[in-house]
Amino acid sequence: MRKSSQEEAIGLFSTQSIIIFMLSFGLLLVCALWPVYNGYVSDAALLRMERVMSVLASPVLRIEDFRLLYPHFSVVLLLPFGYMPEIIKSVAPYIVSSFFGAVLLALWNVHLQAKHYPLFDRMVLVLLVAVHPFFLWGVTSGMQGGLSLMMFYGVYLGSVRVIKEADARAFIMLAAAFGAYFFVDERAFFIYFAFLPLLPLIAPPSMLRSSPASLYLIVSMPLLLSVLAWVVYLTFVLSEGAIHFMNAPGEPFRGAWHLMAEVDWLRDYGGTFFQPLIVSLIVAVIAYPVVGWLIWRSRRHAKLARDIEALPLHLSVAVAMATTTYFLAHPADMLYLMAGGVMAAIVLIPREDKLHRRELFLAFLLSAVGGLFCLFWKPTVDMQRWTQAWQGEKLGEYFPGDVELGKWLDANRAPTLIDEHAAYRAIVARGDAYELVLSSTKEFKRALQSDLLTVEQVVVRDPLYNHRDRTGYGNEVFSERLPDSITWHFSDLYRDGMRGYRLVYDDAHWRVYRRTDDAKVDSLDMFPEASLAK
Amino acid sequence: MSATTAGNSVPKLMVGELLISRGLLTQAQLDEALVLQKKWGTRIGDIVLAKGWIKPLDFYSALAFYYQKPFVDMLKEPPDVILHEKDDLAAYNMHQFMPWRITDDDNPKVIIATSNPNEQAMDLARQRFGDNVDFVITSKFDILWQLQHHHDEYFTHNAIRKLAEQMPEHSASVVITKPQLIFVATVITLVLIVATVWPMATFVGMNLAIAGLLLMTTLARLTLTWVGSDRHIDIKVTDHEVKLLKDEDLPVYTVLMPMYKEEAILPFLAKAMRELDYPLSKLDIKLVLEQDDEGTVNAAKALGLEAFFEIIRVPTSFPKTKPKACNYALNFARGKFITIYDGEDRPEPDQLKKVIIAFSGMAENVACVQARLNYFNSTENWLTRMFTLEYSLWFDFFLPGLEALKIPIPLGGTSNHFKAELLLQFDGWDPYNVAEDADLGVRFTQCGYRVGIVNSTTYEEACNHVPTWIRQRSRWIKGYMQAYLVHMRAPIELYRSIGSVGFWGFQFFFLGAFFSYLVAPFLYGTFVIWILGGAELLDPLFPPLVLLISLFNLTLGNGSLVYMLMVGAFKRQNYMLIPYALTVPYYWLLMSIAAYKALSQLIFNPFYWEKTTHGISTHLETPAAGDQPAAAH
Repeated sequence: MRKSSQEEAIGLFSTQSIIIFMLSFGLLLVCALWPVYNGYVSDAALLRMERVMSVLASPVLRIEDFRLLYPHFSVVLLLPFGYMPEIIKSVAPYIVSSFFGAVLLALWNVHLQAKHYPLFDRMVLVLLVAVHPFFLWGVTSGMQGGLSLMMFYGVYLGSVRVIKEADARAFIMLAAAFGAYFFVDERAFFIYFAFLPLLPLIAPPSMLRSSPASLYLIVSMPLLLSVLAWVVYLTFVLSEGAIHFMNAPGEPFRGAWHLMAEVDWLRDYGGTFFQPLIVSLIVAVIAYPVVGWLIWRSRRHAKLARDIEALPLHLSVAVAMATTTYFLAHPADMLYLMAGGVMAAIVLIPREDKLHRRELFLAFLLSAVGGLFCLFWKPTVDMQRWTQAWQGEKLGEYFPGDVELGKWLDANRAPTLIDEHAAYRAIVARGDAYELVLSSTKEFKRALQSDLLTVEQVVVRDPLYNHRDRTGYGNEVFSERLPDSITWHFSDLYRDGMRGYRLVYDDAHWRVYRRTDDAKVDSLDMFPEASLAK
Repeated sequence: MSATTAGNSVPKLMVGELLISRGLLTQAQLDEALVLQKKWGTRIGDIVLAKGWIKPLDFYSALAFYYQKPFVDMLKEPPDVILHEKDDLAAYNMHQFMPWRITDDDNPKVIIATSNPNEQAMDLARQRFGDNVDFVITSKFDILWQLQHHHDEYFTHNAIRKLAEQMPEHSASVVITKPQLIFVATVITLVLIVATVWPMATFVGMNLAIAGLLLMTTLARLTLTWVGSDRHIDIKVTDHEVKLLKDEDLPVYTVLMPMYKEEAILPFLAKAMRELDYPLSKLDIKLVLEQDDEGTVNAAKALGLEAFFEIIRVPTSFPKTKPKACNYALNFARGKFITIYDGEDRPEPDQLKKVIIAFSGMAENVACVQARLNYFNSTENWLTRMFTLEYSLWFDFFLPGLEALKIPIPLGGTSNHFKAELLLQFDGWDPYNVAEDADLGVRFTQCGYRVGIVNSTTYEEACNHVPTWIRQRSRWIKGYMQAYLVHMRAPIELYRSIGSVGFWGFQFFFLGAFFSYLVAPFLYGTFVIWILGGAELLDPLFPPLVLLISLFNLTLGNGSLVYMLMVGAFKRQNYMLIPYALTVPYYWLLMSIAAYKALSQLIFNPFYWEKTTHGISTHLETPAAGDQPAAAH
């Protein structure tokens, strides 16, 4: 029996791996689409799909049309879905994330197979990891966490290689993983900074004694390069400036900063460090008691135990940092990555015998229960909607005003000036971005630099629309309107309209003005030479 | 021994006892020599000479007494050259003999002068001259000197022209062939025509081509760094394996040490060679000196070096290059393996043993094993720091990566160890190529042989002076250009012989190297314009795709090159050098200056050898008195 199991093909493309991938992918897809079927919509997923539509609508495929303000790679992966039927396109972010989640599970299966875990045990383990509520939240809720989990799995394996081998490749692996992480997940900063104090735990003491600075430089350089490259590129292509991606409200690199008023976690702990650190550690222990079991099982392998101990600490420090900067809406948004660390730890500790494997299964089951409990504690609006949809509750329309605008724009197609930062939900509801003049285009910038609009239609949002409360750093909470960039320039446009334009749409907080035929003549009058030439 | 001494009465006394009885050796020295004889498996005579306990003249006189034969000083009684056969010159050198004279009595006899009476020499003599052959004893230095003195024209011709005559397609004696010239002229003409009709599109196209090539070069280097960082590639020979090696099983090892006007470095060199963990009596060290360099020749003589050092005087001829000198010295090599060290080199003592173990564990078609190079004066100044960073990356990551991916390896200037037989088959180095080592590495790969890398380091002296550095670097880059032109004479043939990975690796590693140095000033200029004039000024030249690639090169590309340098220093545990990697753009500027000098020389003076001055580092330690040979005392 053992012989036959040894003879099984080991590899990501072996038949067994492919079957496990297919099963995992199917399971995760069902878990992702069931809430969507019940009306759940992820705002992060909508934002990404709007980017894909904008890029595809551009006459030339330009990298700057990605808007650059969030990790690119997740958007690049969505591009092919832009050409697919509407029904698939609308759920593309969920499909992509589930795909990478399944790849990770299949890869883990390969690693377990190499450790001679029997097929049944592997399947049980894969299932137990996949059904953990934090894992499901990260991978299937539209956060695009599948890819991030894969990266974290790589970081964790890399850190263990540093412990075991401490060769140049180990450090390159770890550093490169951080460098690439920046393009995959906006949480990379926090994961990296939280890792730095833990580096002495895993690096060889002799190396630390010789030159700790060089150790940090080697591990940090690729991430610094990624950020530098990003900033230089943004300087080149963005009129808003190089660090716009760091200070633009509502952009992914600012996380939940603009949602402060409605997020319990940030209201209670935002701007502080030690409180969220302790709370996060408690959440980690409740949600992943399996980590405790792993530490106990690896107690005879001091270095490995050290790395496993560092896992909850690492992510809790990351949670605390992200809470201090008002980035994180809920600890689960970061702690779901623990699944990657747990998977790596199981691969790295000696293979468990049958008795201890049962304990492992039990620890995983307990973790799932603990995770579920934590998910219901101080949930965000998205989390509430997601869990409600999971329970089969039919949810109401998500931002109906935006959806109505999108449908109207679809029915009244014409070159339209629109700020996609404000209207991304409407653009997704429209189905594509063809003929829309978006803020990344030269036409849009030119329009905002002149006093007179020439575009066929213009969409403007009510400047008094209280999108969401925002807060500054510190304890003072204040409310601020978030006008779109068209209103910034034409402050009275929403209320008074513009000469030569008539109101054609007025619903919820949106108005659309369309150019009149007289205005076309007027605009020609402004350029007599041009009109004569015509 | 019986054959050579047949008919001669040999005293029952052993050689060692004879030397004691003559007062040439002490009993303690003999006892030590006997222990070494058992360990090394060589003769007492070789040991005492190698140890420098006895002067060669005294030893060979005693040897003559031992064999009851006359001792001949061939400087005073030169050989009759008419007896010498060109085809036998290698055998004369290998077996340390040469036909000396024919007796003019009734029964003419050919007399062989030998420093090493042995079967092979006598057999060869009998084959040539019949059974009536006798021998006299002479010094091995006399044989060497007479061979050089009487046959220097032949050896010189071989050193210079053999490759060009036998494998002209691999010789850089013609810098650029006619088809290559036509190709280059056609490309330039076409570019000019297109640029006249569509100037902006042409510039954008050229910009894209440059950016693309730089991108591919960077990616190739990243790949090599990644592959080369695998520790399983890295370590080939362990200390335990070295310990298991028996000295008696070791073959004779030839070390070529070409030098020019480097008398100051000689004591250091001698010390480094004595410190090698290798039986001294199995070392065949050739100090390859130019005949017109009297200073170094006299200094070497004055040092009274042990007998395993031999001076090879290379006659003055054109081209005056290191490969020509090495080719010349190759005629006198007696080892099974051959290596080259520069005068200031400090190889790790067990390097030769590691190489032998590496060869035994590698495939039969491995023709050469390259040891790693690094610098002992890395902290002397900024330049030496940068040079060390560069070398650490080159030898600790790139070369092992090239080896693993089977891409032609440009050998380093020193510490490359060859199977002597194969090196001779390849006609040695190309004397017209000023980076002959890099060229030879490609030639090996092209002919189906491979180059291995061994985990042993030779520490050299890094140039600490910018003009000297530029001279040295311009020579290397010119050599790379020569090698590229030579091996790209038949690109399809090259592709077939080394495969796609090897071919593209060769393009990005050779062409990419000097090309990036040549275009660097333009890129720096563009960067300055961008900083001073803003992005809009350059917009027409940088459409989206070109902009994306160029910015990748500027940021991630250059950044990753900086990072690779850091990793190189990190692996070498030269932690203090790591921050200096950030200053590499200034180093690249120096590279560009050297590259333009190289290009200019390639056109106007292709075979000129820019000599690097060694022995100027303040980090050189003066050898202690104890480091001098016993005979010199």
